[in-house]
Amino acid sequence: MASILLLFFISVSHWIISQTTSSKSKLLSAKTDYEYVYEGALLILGRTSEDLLQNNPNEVFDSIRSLSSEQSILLMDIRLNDEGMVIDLGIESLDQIIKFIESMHSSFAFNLIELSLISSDEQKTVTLIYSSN
Amino acid sequence: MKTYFIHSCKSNENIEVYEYLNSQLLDTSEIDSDQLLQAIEPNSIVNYLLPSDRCIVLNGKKNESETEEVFKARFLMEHEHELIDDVSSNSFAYSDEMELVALAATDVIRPINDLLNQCASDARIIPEHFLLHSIADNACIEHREHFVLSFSDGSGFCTNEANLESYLTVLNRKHPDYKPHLLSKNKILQNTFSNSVEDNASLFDLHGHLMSESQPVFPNFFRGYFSIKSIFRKLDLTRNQIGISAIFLALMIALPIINLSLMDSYERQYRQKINQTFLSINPNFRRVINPRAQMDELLRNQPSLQTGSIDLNAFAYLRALDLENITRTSIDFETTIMLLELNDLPQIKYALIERLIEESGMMIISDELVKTDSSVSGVIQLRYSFE
Repeated sequence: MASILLLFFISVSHWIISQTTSSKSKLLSAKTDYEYVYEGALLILGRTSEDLLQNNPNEVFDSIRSLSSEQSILLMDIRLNDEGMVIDLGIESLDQIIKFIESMHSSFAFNLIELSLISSDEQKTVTLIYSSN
Repeated sequence: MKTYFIHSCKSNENIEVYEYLNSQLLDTSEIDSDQLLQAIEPNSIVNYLLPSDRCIVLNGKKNESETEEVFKARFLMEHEHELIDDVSSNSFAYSDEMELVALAATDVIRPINDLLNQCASDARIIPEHFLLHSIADNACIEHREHFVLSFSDGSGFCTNEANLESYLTVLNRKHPDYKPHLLSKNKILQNTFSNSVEDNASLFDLHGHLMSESQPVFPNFFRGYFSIKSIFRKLDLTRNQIGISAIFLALMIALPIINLSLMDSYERQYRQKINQTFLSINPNFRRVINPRAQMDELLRNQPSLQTGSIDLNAFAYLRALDLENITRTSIDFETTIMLLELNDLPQIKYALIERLIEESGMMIISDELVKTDSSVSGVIQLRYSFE
């Protein structure tokens, strides 16, 4: 009885170790595949967004307005100039702008080239410049 | 540590248990063999004295080159004619020091061996007459109308009072010179061995002699084996400890399985996300076979693309610098240059910022700060690291 239990325990341990090794490598493979695909998808999204910005900027502006509104961020101005797309925002905390930049990245994959933040007692103003190819 | 001596009762199926602690007799009891587990404390020494009429002891010497199994086979083959039962139905015990082999019916030894294994103690099953060897090679003891005789060739015998006389007649005929040390006041014995030396040692004294030996050299029939019951008894766990151990064991099995299922679930989620990503690019997308190759294929069809990654390191630095004290901050993500403009920042706060710059490994490109005794103003340009 005890020998059977010992054998069972050894078999279960062996099964768990081999399954864990196999699952871990599968998980790592899935993770790296996903990261690769995600990066690729962002490149395609960036290209698509650039095209949309060139051809129909108002559609992009509206989407950005709605994004800032969802996140309770004051969008003061949004415009295109020689450098690219410029967005002026009024924020209350640094976390707000980080979240907004991340959302912009996952929604449009624009290339952020510059951030300017002016702090005063009353408020903080952020200017984001996204490149336009 | 307690030491137990177990003798078979000759009058019935019960056993006599003698319990000692540090060579002092604590208790004697006559119990049924089913009650033995309750009577024996785990992790003690248990000596089961096998009645000498249940075994035979023969001289035998194992050659140095022989393994135990080879010696056993050779010995049984050589002594086959002396054995009543079939060779295979005998249990074999050998003492290298005494060069003696003891044989007993496996049917007799196995139940005792199984019982002692459950006791979770250091157990021995030795022929009863070896107790007498501490007194003399030829000796005889009476205990509870039961007589045990030992002989100088290592063999022994036991009998009850009813059969003593007839046994002694046979013995006298076979070994007329046999003069044992007598540990008995029995008249029959005294008459038969009138010239023998009388000894007052009792059974307890014989137990004491055996206890004084750290490793008895007598042939031992006991064979220990792995059993759950004996492990439980050896560990001597309380109910709470058993409960905790069971939970611990269950967790030991359950946690890796949970871990496996979590990893499988994460893997499925990643695969689903890959599918969704492809579907978001092309709603007509059907099946992911090799995601990397399929993505490469999609990218090949696109015009020149620019990487739009964001570097969150810059934000980590901003968090650490405490923006409340900085009038203007500018980050150029392409050159990884950060510009900080300070306006009448108290010296103490600037010292903190300076320390943070040092600790974070940022490189100062230009420093146009004007420092007075109380405050700092001006612009400083830093290059931050990507790592």
